Amino acid sequence: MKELEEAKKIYKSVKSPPKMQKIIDSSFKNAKFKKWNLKKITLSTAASICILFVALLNCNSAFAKSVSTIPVISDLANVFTFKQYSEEDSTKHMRVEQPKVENIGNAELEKQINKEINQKVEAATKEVQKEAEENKKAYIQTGGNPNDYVPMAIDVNYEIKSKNEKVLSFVLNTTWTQANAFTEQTFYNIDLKTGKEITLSDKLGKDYKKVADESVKKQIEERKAQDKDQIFFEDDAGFQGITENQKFYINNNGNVVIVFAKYEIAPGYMGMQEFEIK
Amino acid sequence: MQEKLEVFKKYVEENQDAFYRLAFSYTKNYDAALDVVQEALLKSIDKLSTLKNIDYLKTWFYRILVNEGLNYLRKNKRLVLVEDFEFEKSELSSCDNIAESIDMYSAVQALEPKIRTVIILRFFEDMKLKEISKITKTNVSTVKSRLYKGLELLKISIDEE
Repeated sequence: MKELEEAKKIYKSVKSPPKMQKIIDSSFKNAKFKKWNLKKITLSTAASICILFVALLNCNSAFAKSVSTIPVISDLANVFTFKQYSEEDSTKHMRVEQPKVENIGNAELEKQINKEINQKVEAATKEVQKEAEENKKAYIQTGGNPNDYVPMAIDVNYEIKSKNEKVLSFVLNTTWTQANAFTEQTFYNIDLKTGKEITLSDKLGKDYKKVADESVKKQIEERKAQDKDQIFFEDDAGFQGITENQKFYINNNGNVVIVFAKYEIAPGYMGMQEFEIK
Repeated sequence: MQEKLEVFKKYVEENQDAFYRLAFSYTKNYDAALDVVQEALLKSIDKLSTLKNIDYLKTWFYRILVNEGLNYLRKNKRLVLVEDFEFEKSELSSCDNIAESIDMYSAVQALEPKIRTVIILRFFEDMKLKEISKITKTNVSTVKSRLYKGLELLKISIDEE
């Protein structure tokens, strides 16, 4: 036992590096963000924000028929780069590619979506500027060498998930990188005809929870069986059925794709997890 | 919730050395140890609302941390990282025989992960068997058998030197 006592001294001599405090701070900051995001107040300091808009085009049937045969959808509804700029200094690197939607067939909703994108982008860029200054100041005050400071980076861009005669679906990514990258997502699935958000029950029917749960569970098992490196959290930490505000988008096949953020049902290295419900 | 979060943050800050050391015992790499702690933190912050009684914070968080450490090993089983340990001289001056102590330390670090976890928590972090059983989600008798197995192996590996 005496040898173990001696080994203990060596074990205890390992101290956490100064970087640890930064990691703790940024982790808890993410927590703060998460709470805000749930209340849909504003963007905060979280590392990454994804916003997905799904706009269903509900044309009258004759019109829909005519456009379905000729792929001229780009004239009808579009997502394009509205603003593009980048900014770089010693505290931050900022790159923004802000999308805008047009001709989605509902002027009111179009305005609302564009306004919302604008607000999200503005809030994120403002936050990064403020946050970057404070972080650098804190870094130097705690004895860090200004030349070693790693600038904060923010990258806003978008990606079209699907675009056809029925659906216009795209994702706005706001990635915030410094000590880590954490993904937060806000999804909007909007039915243009009713002006309401599309629910999972609209797409999957009354038993949508059962349908989605079974499919996700099955796919998790399949992925684990196919590749031993695919690890998902187990028991109470793992997938326990879709939630009331489950995130999803609609893909090119018109199917619902259930999305889980990094860390939500699997270790961080697994990244975001997507499950197509066929 | 906000209050719970603050209690948790304070607890993490006060015990960060212990968490880092434990993570390091799995990764044997400084940066990877930070990653493991971070993963455990983000995950536990996310799940904090499911922790009903704040008194169980310690075993609850250690359980997440140990799981993250084992996950790391599972994920990186083909990757062997060898890094020289850097020890604080002042800490070591109190050791009677530094070479022997380092041998023992290395022997502990070389144990099979599940056994190592028990040995570290019991002897280096002075935890009770009951706490360890909660952290590792096994019953006390399993913890005991791993403990004895570990001690047995340590004697062997020391004798071989």
